[in-house]
Amino acid sequence: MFRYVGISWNDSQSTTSVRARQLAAGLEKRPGWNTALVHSGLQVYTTGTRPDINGVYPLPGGQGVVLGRLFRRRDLRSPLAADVTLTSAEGEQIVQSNGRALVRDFWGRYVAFFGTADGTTCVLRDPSGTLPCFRIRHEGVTIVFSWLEDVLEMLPGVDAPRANWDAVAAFILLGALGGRETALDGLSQILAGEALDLRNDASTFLWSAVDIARSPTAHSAAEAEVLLREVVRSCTRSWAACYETILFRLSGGVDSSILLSCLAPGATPADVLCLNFHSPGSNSDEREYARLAAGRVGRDLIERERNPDFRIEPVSRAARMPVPINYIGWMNATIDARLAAAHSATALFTGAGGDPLFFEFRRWWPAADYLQVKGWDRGAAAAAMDAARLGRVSVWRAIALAMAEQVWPRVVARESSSPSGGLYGEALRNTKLQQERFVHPHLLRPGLPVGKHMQTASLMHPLGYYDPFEQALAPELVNPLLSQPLIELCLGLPTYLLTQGGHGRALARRAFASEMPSRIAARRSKGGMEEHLKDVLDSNLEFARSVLMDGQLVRRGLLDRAGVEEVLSGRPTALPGSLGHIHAFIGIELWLARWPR
Amino acid sequence: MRTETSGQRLGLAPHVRACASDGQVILLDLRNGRYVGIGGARSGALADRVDGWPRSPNALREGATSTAANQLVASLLARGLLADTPSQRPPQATVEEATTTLDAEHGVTNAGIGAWRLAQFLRSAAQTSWWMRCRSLQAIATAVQARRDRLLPVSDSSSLAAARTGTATYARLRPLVLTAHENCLHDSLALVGFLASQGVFPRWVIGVKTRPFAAHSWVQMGSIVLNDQHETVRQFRPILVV
Repeated sequence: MFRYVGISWNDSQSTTSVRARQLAAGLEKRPGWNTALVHSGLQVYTTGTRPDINGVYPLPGGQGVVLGRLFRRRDLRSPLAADVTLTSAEGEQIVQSNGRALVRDFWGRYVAFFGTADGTTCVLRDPSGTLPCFRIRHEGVTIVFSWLEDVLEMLPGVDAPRANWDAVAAFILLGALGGRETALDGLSQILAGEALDLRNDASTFLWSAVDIARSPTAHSAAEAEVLLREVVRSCTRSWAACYETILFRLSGGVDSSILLSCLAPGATPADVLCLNFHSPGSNSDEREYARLAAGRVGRDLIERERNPDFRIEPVSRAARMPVPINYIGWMNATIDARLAAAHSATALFTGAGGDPLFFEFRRWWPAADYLQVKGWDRGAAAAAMDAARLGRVSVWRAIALAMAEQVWPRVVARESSSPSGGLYGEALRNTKLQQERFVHPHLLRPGLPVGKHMQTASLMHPLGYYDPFEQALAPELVNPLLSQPLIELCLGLPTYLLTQGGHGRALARRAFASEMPSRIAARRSKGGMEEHLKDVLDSNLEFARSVLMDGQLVRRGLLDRAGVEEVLSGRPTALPGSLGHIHAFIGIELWLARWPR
Repeated sequence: MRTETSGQRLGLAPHVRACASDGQVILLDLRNGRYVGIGGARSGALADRVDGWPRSPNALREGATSTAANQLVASLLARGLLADTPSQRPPQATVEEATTTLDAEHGVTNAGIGAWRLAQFLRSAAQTSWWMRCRSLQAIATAVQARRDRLLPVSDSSSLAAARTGTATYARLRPLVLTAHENCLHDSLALVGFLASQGVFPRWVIGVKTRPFAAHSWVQMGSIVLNDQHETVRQFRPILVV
């Protein structure tokens, strides 16, 4: 499991220097940890490096280091099997440009540490945000790290951080924390594309999803189709070239089928083994589609039933993370790890990110986007009709909403109400969400049309990289659709182009129509696992009650005890509250129990 | 308050439909479109007393005291949901398990829209709007059934082809007039009305699910769902099929 720790301090302060060196010495003694950089006021350590997968790219003259996996932009069309070797000139340019050349000329999965011309030190998190990047201050020393357990082990005598209750409330309301604060006091994150001066605490964004989204490209539909196909293929094959054997999570949906179509034998040297999970239910058995996709490409498929006996209690022993874990996404982690080990697969590829990337939002929003970008031109009527079809509203309603959005933006915020709102306690209902703390600062700027705003916001929440349950036993998680070149392309394509014809993912479906089985290309349904979640909750009901009914969320008024009791009673109830949210609340409660009160 | 002797057989009132879902029984009162949920042991206790009461494999049979069951019966009688004599209810229409989605917009290239089809669509949309405003679900269900009984259906093989063409036409016209998002009942009734004008008579279905409770309406022909995804409607247990 690839991890890093960076220790930064002000060399001119002796007490701080002493403490920093103690921490560094402690890391150097730990088995498996290696020194990646020794610089004035900065030392960086890594563990779990693997050739061609996650490495260390030194910058010239010991001025810095890039950690992770790099690809060159100019090689995008011809992915190379071998890892990048930074030339001196490239490294010098990265340093001289304070990291801008790295973001401009490379992509991948990385965090960079480097000295600046001003004599301070910076950390840069790549635009995809794949590698976690957190920061904590201890006795004047700044520790930058990817895995919290490493830091807790480094600081054994120090009190563990406490829960940041404002952030916990925001986490429940928003589903994710997009700002710099985490759910733990004193622990912050560096955002994707952000370069943070570790000495002066000054932040610069070297890459902004919002800025890219603000400048729609002028590609025609035909050009966009070709481009999309090329970039998806290139990114997917670049990642695949890093691994000998890949476990591929094949749901049978459009996104995973698109990815798999890029990984046919002959298209990549990697061996690809598909894996489909199924369970009894209305939409939780997609084996038929998975078989079609695997058969079309000529890859083997393993089918596994989701575990109906999943026990929630062990979640309380998962690795400690800066935000609560939603264990729903990890219920098959043990099977993934065992299959990966059995087949020597070092990576698990998924199609995560496809919904926002290709614009699968069944809403009228593209009508508003068209109006804002192009106004009432000749194409407006067709765009409105497409948006009406997409959102299943009348064209008049789509036009009215689009026009209202021009005058009174963010109708989405006014329209939406959380499906679990019926379970919120009074304290949560009365919470005034401090957006400047918990929403990405760029999303607070006006200017993006509503559809593009929602797409951009969805793409600005990096997904979990580490498996908190299987940890080092887990295969490395790779989500090729969330690669920087692809995100940039799709953010630049207008939503009305992505959905031309009135269907979600319309452009992506057309781009890959000849590469996928036609039944999947035309597929509108989505797989789910509502019945499985119900079964898991039923088989853990006593534990769920014991955790939630008198847990911290209820005691602090964030959840309504009576509502929780009603939903968990098994009695008929009209209270809204999806099972996914119940499981999320349990996950939050178990996470809270790990920290001092 | 009505009373009943413990040995008396009861029945569901003629305007009530019922289904079992996840250990609970849901009643739909067609007069006012309201749902009532009865769970656990109380539901199981009524299975022995009420003709037509859905039996759920997950329902508890023990646990409800006789007093509690009597109180429940009295309450349901008072609300007019039960009848104190089992009525001669006509056999309720059923629907096959939904296993396929029509996806009408794909593969149909000859869905021409003439003036007559447009007129029929507008008529159906207007009639549905008027029904939704002025009629109870019971009256709507009666009207839909009567229309089906009145007009001769076409043969099965051409029904599916006609259903595909008609649904594709409807889907193209719908954005001109109707919002289907969160408006499934209106959308389904309008589609059923339009298809009837084309000589096609699928089933109009209302289904429910629990935990959390939700109701949904769709149109189905055999095992094929015409205006939704079959994976979506499979989450719902049919409670009304017309």
